[in-house]
Amino acid sequence: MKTSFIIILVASVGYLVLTILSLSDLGYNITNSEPTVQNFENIQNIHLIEKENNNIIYEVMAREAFILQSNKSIMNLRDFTVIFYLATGREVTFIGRTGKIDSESKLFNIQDEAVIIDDLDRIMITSNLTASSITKFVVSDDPVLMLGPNFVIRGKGIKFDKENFKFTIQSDVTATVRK
Amino acid sequence: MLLLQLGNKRLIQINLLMISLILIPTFGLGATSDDKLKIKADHAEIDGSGRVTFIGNVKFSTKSMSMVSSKVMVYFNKDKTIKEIIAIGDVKLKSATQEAYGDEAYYRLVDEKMLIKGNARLIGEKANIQGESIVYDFKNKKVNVINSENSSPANGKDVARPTIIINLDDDNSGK
Repeated sequence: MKTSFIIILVASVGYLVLTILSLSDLGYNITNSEPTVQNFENIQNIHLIEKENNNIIYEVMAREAFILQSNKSIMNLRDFTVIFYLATGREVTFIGRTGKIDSESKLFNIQDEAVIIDDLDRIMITSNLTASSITKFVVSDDPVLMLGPNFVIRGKGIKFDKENFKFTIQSDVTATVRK
Repeated sequence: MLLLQLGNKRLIQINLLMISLILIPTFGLGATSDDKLKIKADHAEIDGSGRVTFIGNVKFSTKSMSMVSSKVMVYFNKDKTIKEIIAIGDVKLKSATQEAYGDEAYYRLVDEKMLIKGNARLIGEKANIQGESIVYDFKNKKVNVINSENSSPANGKDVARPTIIINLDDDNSGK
Protein backbone atom coordinates (compact mmCIF):
# COMPACT_ATOMS: atom_id res chain seq x y z
CA MET A 1 0.00 0.00 0.00
CA LYS A 2 2.76 2.36 1.06
CA THR A 3 4.87 1.38 -2.01
CA SER A 4 1.92 2.02 -4.37
CA PHE A 5 1.40 5.44 -2.83
CA ILE A 6 5.11 6.33 -3.37
CA ILE A 7 4.97 5.13 -7.00
CA ILE A 8 1.85 7.21 -7.69
CA LEU A 9 3.43 10.26 -6.00
CA VAL A 10 6.68 9.96 -8.00
CA ALA A 11 4.74 9.45 -11.26
CA SER A 12 2.60 12.53 -10.54
CA VAL A 13 5.63 14.70 -9.78
CA GLY A 14 7.36 13.41 -12.93
CA TYR A 15 4.32 14.19 -15.08
CA LEU A 16 4.16 17.70 -13.58
CA VAL A 17 7.87 18.32 -14.33
CA LEU A 18 7.47 17.06 -17.93
CA THR A 19 4.45 19.31 -18.45
CA ILE A 20 6.38 22.35 -17.18
CA LEU A 21 9.38 21.50 -19.42
CA SER A 22 7.06 21.03 -22.39
CA LEU A 23 5.50 24.46 -21.82
CA SER A 24 8.95 25.97 -21.45
CA ASP A 25 9.91 24.40 -24.83
CA LEU A 26 7.03 26.17 -26.49
CA GLY A 27 8.38 29.55 -25.46
CA TYR A 28 6.07 30.28 -22.58
CA ASN A 29 7.59 32.36 -19.84
CA ILE A 30 6.60 30.31 -16.85
CA THR A 31 8.02 32.62 -14.20
CA ASN A 32 6.30 35.77 -15.48
CA SER A 33 2.89 34.80 -16.78
CA GLU A 34 2.45 31.47 -15.02
CA PRO A 35 0.36 29.98 -17.81
CA THR A 36 -1.71 26.94 -17.22
CA VAL A 37 -2.84 24.27 -19.62
CA GLN A 38 -5.97 26.33 -20.25
CA ASN A 39 -3.84 29.18 -21.72
CA PHE A 40 -3.36 27.49 -25.06
CA GLU A 41 -5.23 25.42 -27.55
CA ASN A 42 -3.70 22.15 -28.69
CA ILE A 43 -4.65 20.81 -32.13
CA GLN A 44 -3.56 17.41 -33.42
CA ASN A 45 -2.87 16.59 -37.09
CA ILE A 46 -3.38 20.07 -38.37
CA HIS A 47 -3.53 20.99 -42.06
CA LEU A 48 -3.57 24.69 -42.94
CA ILE A 49 -3.83 26.21 -46.38
CA GLU A 50 -3.01 29.88 -46.93
CA LYS A 51 -4.52 31.37 -50.07
CA GLU A 52 -4.16 34.68 -51.87
CA ASN A 53 -6.39 35.56 -54.84
CA ASN A 54 -7.57 31.96 -54.85
CA ASN A 55 -4.01 30.69 -55.29
CA ILE A 56 -2.43 28.55 -52.60
CA ILE A 57 0.59 30.41 -51.18
CA TYR A 58 1.60 27.76 -48.69
CA GLU A 59 0.22 24.83 -46.79
CA VAL A 60 1.20 23.54 -43.39
CA MET A 61 0.83 20.00 -42.12
CA ALA A 62 1.74 19.38 -38.49
CA ARG A 63 1.36 16.54 -36.04
CA GLU A 64 0.64 19.04 -33.33
CA ALA A 65 -0.04 22.78 -33.09
CA PHE A 66 -0.35 25.04 -30.06
CA ILE A 67 -2.08 28.41 -30.18
CA LEU A 68 -1.68 30.72 -27.22
CA GLN A 69 -5.01 32.19 -26.16
CA SER A 70 -3.44 35.57 -25.41
CA ASN A 71 -1.80 35.77 -28.87
CA LYS A 72 -3.65 33.81 -31.49
CA SER A 73 -1.48 35.11 -34.33
CA ILE A 74 1.36 32.80 -33.28
CA MET A 75 1.04 29.09 -33.91
CA ASN A 76 3.69 26.79 -32.45
CA LEU A 77 4.22 23.65 -34.50
CA ARG A 78 5.59 20.19 -33.80
CA ASP A 79 6.72 17.68 -36.47
CA PHE A 80 5.59 19.68 -39.42
CA THR A 81 5.96 20.27 -43.14
CA VAL A 82 5.42 23.60 -44.91
CA ILE A 83 5.14 23.70 -48.71
CA PHE A 84 5.56 27.09 -50.40
CA TYR A 85 3.92 27.37 -53.83
CA LEU A 86 5.73 30.08 -55.78
CA ALA A 87 4.23 32.34 -58.43
CA THR A 88 6.48 30.68 -61.03
CA GLY A 89 4.71 27.37 -60.47
CA ARG A 90 7.61 25.89 -58.54
CA GLU A 91 7.52 24.64 -55.00
CA VAL A 92 9.81 24.26 -51.99
CA THR A 93 9.17 22.07 -48.97
CA PHE A 94 10.39 22.78 -45.43
CA ILE A 95 10.41 20.09 -42.75
CA GLY A 96 11.00 20.73 -39.07
CA ARG A 97 10.45 19.36 -35.59
CA THR A 98 9.62 22.60 -33.81
CA GLY A 99 8.67 25.92 -35.33
CA LYS A 100 6.36 28.89 -35.35
CA ILE A 101 4.14 30.70 -37.79
CA ASP A 102 3.24 34.30 -37.01
CA SER A 103 0.30 35.37 -39.15
CA GLU A 104 0.74 39.05 -38.16
CA SER A 105 4.44 39.54 -38.89
CA LYS A 106 4.25 36.98 -41.74
CA LEU A 107 7.27 35.20 -40.30
CA PHE A 108 7.73 31.46 -40.34
CA ASN A 109 10.49 29.99 -38.22
CA ILE A 110 11.97 26.51 -37.86
CA GLN A 111 13.94 25.98 -34.67
CA ASP A 112 16.53 23.22 -34.34
CA GLU A 113 17.08 21.11 -37.45
CA ALA A 114 15.42 22.17 -40.68
CA VAL A 115 15.25 20.30 -43.98
CA ILE A 116 14.52 22.03 -47.28
CA ILE A 117 13.65 20.05 -50.42
CA ASP A 118 13.17 21.75 -53.76
CA ASP A 119 11.47 20.47 -56.88
CA LEU A 120 14.82 19.44 -58.41
CA ASP A 121 15.28 16.92 -55.56
CA ARG A 122 18.00 18.99 -53.91
CA ILE A 123 18.01 18.64 -50.15
CA MET A 124 19.40 21.20 -47.72
CA ILE A 125 19.88 20.55 -44.03
CA THR A 126 20.42 23.45 -41.65
CA SER A 127 18.89 24.84 -38.45
CA ASN A 128 17.21 27.97 -37.10
CA LEU A 129 15.59 28.95 -40.35
CA THR A 130 13.39 32.01 -40.80
CA ALA A 131 11.13 32.68 -43.77
CA SER A 132 9.47 36.02 -44.35
CA SER A 133 6.49 36.48 -46.65
CA ILE A 134 7.32 40.19 -46.80
CA THR A 135 11.01 40.03 -47.81
CA LYS A 136 10.47 36.83 -49.86
CA PHE A 137 13.67 35.42 -48.35
CA VAL A 138 14.34 32.33 -46.30
CA VAL A 139 17.52 32.62 -44.23
CA SER A 140 19.67 30.78 -41.74
CA ASP A 141 23.10 31.72 -40.40
CA ASP A 142 23.86 28.18 -39.26
CA PRO A 143 25.99 25.57 -41.06
CA VAL A 144 24.31 24.05 -44.08
CA LEU A 145 24.68 20.78 -45.97
CA MET A 146 23.26 20.62 -49.49
CA LEU A 147 22.79 17.28 -51.24
CA GLY A 148 22.23 17.48 -54.97
CA PRO A 149 21.77 14.56 -57.35
CA ASN A 150 25.49 14.65 -58.15
CA PHE A 151 27.05 16.97 -55.63
CA VAL A 152 27.44 17.74 -51.95
CA ILE A 153 28.02 21.30 -50.79
CA ARG A 154 28.81 22.37 -47.25
CA GLY A 155 28.98 25.93 -46.01
CA LYS A 156 27.81 28.44 -43.46
CA GLY A 157 24.54 30.29 -43.77
CA ILE A 158 21.90 29.91 -46.46
CA LYS A 159 19.60 32.37 -48.14
CA PHE A 160 16.77 31.33 -50.45
CA ASP A 161 15.35 33.95 -52.78
CA LYS A 162 11.82 32.70 -53.45
CA GLU A 163 11.14 35.09 -56.34
CA ASN A 164 14.26 34.10 -58.29
CA PHE A 165 14.38 30.54 -56.98
CA LYS A 166 18.00 30.89 -55.98
CA PHE A 167 19.82 29.42 -52.99
CA THR A 168 22.97 31.18 -51.80
CA ILE A 169 25.39 29.52 -49.42
CA GLN A 170 26.87 32.52 -47.70
CA SER A 171 30.43 31.51 -46.73
CA ASP A 172 33.08 28.80 -46.19
CA VAL A 173 31.91 26.73 -49.14
CA THR A 174 33.41 23.30 -49.80
CA ALA A 175 31.93 21.01 -52.42
CA THR A 176 32.38 17.64 -54.04
CA VAL A 177 30.95 17.21 -57.53
CA ARG A 178 30.85 13.94 -59.43
CA LYS A 179 31.76 14.05 -63.11
CA MET B 1 -7.81 33.11 -46.38
CA LEU B 2 -7.02 30.38 -43.91
CA LEU B 3 -8.62 26.95 -44.21
CA LEU B 4 -8.27 24.30 -41.57
CA GLN B 5 -8.25 20.61 -42.39
CA LEU B 6 -7.50 17.70 -40.16
CA GLY B 7 -5.98 14.43 -41.27
CA ASN B 8 -2.77 12.46 -40.91
CA LYS B 9 -2.22 11.08 -44.41
CA ARG B 10 0.50 13.59 -45.35
CA LEU B 11 2.17 13.22 -41.95
CA ILE B 12 2.90 9.56 -42.68
CA GLN B 13 4.59 10.63 -45.92
CA ILE B 14 6.63 13.23 -44.05
CA ASN B 15 7.88 10.67 -41.55
CA LEU B 16 8.92 8.30 -44.36
CA LEU B 17 10.77 11.19 -46.01
CA MET B 18 12.64 11.99 -42.81
CA ILE B 19 13.71 8.35 -42.46
CA SER B 20 14.93 8.28 -46.07
CA LEU B 21 16.95 11.48 -45.44
CA ILE B 22 18.84 9.76 -42.66
CA LEU B 23 19.69 6.88 -45.01
CA ILE B 24 21.00 9.06 -47.87
CA PRO B 25 24.69 8.34 -48.45
CA THR B 26 27.04 11.30 -48.95
CA PHE B 27 29.04 9.41 -51.62
CA GLY B 28 32.37 9.31 -49.79
CA LEU B 29 33.22 12.96 -49.23
CA GLY B 30 36.59 12.07 -47.81
CA ALA B 31 37.80 10.15 -50.84
CA THR B 32 39.42 11.82 -53.84
CA SER B 33 39.26 10.01 -57.14
CA ASP B 34 39.59 11.34 -60.67
CA ASP B 35 35.85 11.36 -61.30
CA LYS B 36 35.31 13.74 -58.40
CA LEU B 37 35.92 17.45 -58.31
CA LYS B 38 36.75 19.15 -55.04
CA ILE B 39 35.80 22.82 -54.86
CA LYS B 40 36.37 25.52 -52.26
CA ALA B 41 34.91 29.02 -52.52
CA ASP B 42 33.80 32.03 -50.51
CA HIS B 43 30.17 31.42 -51.40
CA ALA B 44 27.95 29.49 -53.80
CA GLU B 45 24.73 30.10 -55.68
CA ILE B 46 22.41 27.28 -56.70
CA ASP B 47 19.72 28.39 -59.11
CA GLY B 48 16.46 26.94 -60.32
CA SER B 49 17.91 25.63 -63.57
CA GLY B 50 20.28 23.33 -61.69
CA ARG B 51 23.39 25.42 -62.29
CA VAL B 52 25.80 25.77 -59.37
CA THR B 53 28.02 28.86 -59.28
CA PHE B 54 31.01 29.14 -56.96
CA ILE B 55 32.11 32.71 -56.32
CA GLY B 56 35.20 34.24 -54.74
CA ASN B 57 38.63 32.60 -54.40
CA VAL B 58 37.46 29.45 -56.11
CA LYS B 59 39.87 26.52 -55.79
CA PHE B 60 39.01 23.57 -57.93
CA SER B 61 40.88 20.27 -57.99
CA THR B 62 40.80 16.75 -59.35
CA LYS B 63 43.36 14.03 -58.79
CA SER B 64 45.44 15.22 -61.76
CA MET B 65 44.93 18.99 -61.91
CA SER B 66 43.98 22.08 -59.98
CA MET B 67 42.48 25.41 -60.97
CA VAL B 68 41.89 28.74 -59.30
CA SER B 69 39.52 31.43 -60.55
CA SER B 70 37.22 34.21 -59.38
CA LYS B 71 34.06 32.40 -60.44
CA VAL B 72 33.27 28.85 -61.53
CA MET B 73 29.92 27.73 -62.94
CA VAL B 74 28.99 24.05 -63.14
CA TYR B 75 26.23 23.06 -65.58
CA PHE B 76 24.48 19.70 -65.46
CA ASN B 77 22.87 17.46 -68.09
CA LYS B 78 19.32 16.18 -67.72
CA ASP B 79 20.73 12.92 -66.35
CA LYS B 80 22.45 15.04 -63.62
CA THR B 81 25.99 14.42 -64.87
CA ILE B 82 28.22 17.45 -65.46
CA LYS B 83 27.77 19.04 -68.87
CA GLU B 84 30.18 21.96 -68.73
CA ILE B 85 32.37 23.88 -66.33
CA ILE B 86 33.02 27.56 -66.97
CA ALA B 87 35.62 29.56 -65.05
CA ILE B 88 35.64 33.34 -65.34
CA GLY B 89 38.31 35.71 -64.07
CA ASP B 90 42.02 35.10 -63.48
CA VAL B 91 41.99 31.46 -64.42
CA LYS B 92 45.11 29.50 -63.42
CA LEU B 93 45.38 25.81 -64.22
CA LYS B 94 48.10 23.58 -62.92
CA SER B 95 49.01 19.97 -63.57
CA ALA B 96 52.16 18.04 -62.68
CA THR B 97 53.99 19.24 -65.81
CA GLN B 98 52.14 22.30 -67.09
CA GLU B 99 50.53 25.54 -66.09
CA ALA B 100 47.98 27.54 -68.07
CA TYR B 101 46.57 31.01 -67.56
CA GLY B 102 43.71 32.94 -69.12
CA ASP B 103 40.77 35.23 -68.51
CA GLU B 104 38.18 32.49 -69.00
CA ALA B 105 38.10 28.71 -69.30
CA TYR B 106 35.37 26.46 -70.76
CA TYR B 107 35.52 22.72 -70.16
CA ARG B 108 33.10 20.46 -72.04
CA LEU B 109 32.96 16.96 -70.65
CA VAL B 110 31.37 15.34 -73.70
CA ASP B 111 34.56 15.69 -75.79
CA GLU B 112 36.95 16.41 -72.90
CA LYS B 113 38.11 19.71 -74.38
CA MET B 114 38.98 22.84 -72.50
CA LEU B 115 39.09 26.26 -74.14
CA ILE B 116 41.13 28.93 -72.37
CA LYS B 117 40.29 32.39 -73.65
CA GLY B 118 41.82 35.83 -73.24
CA ASN B 119 45.55 36.30 -72.72
CA ALA B 120 45.94 32.56 -72.78
CA ARG B 121 49.37 31.26 -71.77
CA LEU B 122 50.69 27.76 -71.55
CA ILE B 123 53.85 27.11 -69.58
CA GLY B 124 55.26 23.64 -70.03
CA GLU B 125 58.52 22.00 -69.09
CA LYS B 126 60.01 22.85 -72.48
CA ALA B 127 57.90 25.70 -73.84
CA ASN B 128 56.04 28.87 -73.03
CA ILE B 129 53.22 29.52 -75.52
CA GLN B 130 50.97 32.52 -75.68
CA GLY B 131 47.84 33.09 -77.76
CA GLU B 132 44.35 34.46 -77.77
CA SER B 133 42.94 31.05 -77.00
CA ILE B 134 44.28 27.66 -76.08
CA VAL B 135 42.30 24.47 -76.56
CA TYR B 136 43.27 21.51 -74.42
CA ASP B 137 42.13 18.19 -75.89
CA PHE B 138 42.43 15.85 -72.94
CA LYS B 139 41.14 12.82 -74.87
CA ASN B 140 43.70 13.07 -77.69
CA LYS B 141 46.36 14.72 -75.52
CA LYS B 142 46.76 17.71 -77.82
CA VAL B 143 47.02 21.44 -77.23
CA ASN B 144 45.77 23.85 -79.87
CA VAL B 145 46.92 27.48 -79.61
CA ILE B 146 44.68 29.78 -81.63
CA ASN B 147 45.38 33.37 -82.61
CA SER B 148 42.65 35.57 -84.03
CA GLU B 149 42.84 36.28 -87.78
CA ASN B 150 41.93 39.88 -87.10
CA SER B 151 44.66 40.49 -84.61
CA SER B 152 47.47 42.76 -85.82
CA PRO B 153 50.89 43.61 -84.53
CA ALA B 154 51.67 47.06 -83.19
CA ASN B 155 53.03 48.39 -86.56
CA GLY B 156 49.70 47.74 -88.28
CA LYS B 157 50.97 45.13 -90.77
CA ASP B 158 49.12 41.88 -90.94
CA VAL B 159 51.23 38.93 -90.00
CA ALA B 160 50.22 35.32 -90.44
CA ARG B 161 49.54 33.91 -86.99
CA PRO B 162 48.90 30.24 -87.53
CA THR B 163 47.23 27.93 -85.14
CA ILE B 164 49.76 25.82 -83.27
CA ILE B 165 48.91 22.24 -82.50
CA ILE B 166 50.98 20.50 -79.89
CA ASN B 167 50.82 16.77 -79.38
CA LEU B 168 51.44 16.17 -75.71
CA ASP B 169 52.21 12.48 -76.30
CA ASP B 170 55.20 13.30 -78.55
CA ASP B 171 56.92 15.33 -75.86
CA ASN B 172 57.72 17.92 -78.56
CA SER B 173 55.79 20.84 -77.13
CA GLY B 174 57.23 24.14 -78.26
CA LYS B 175 59.90 22.65 -80.51
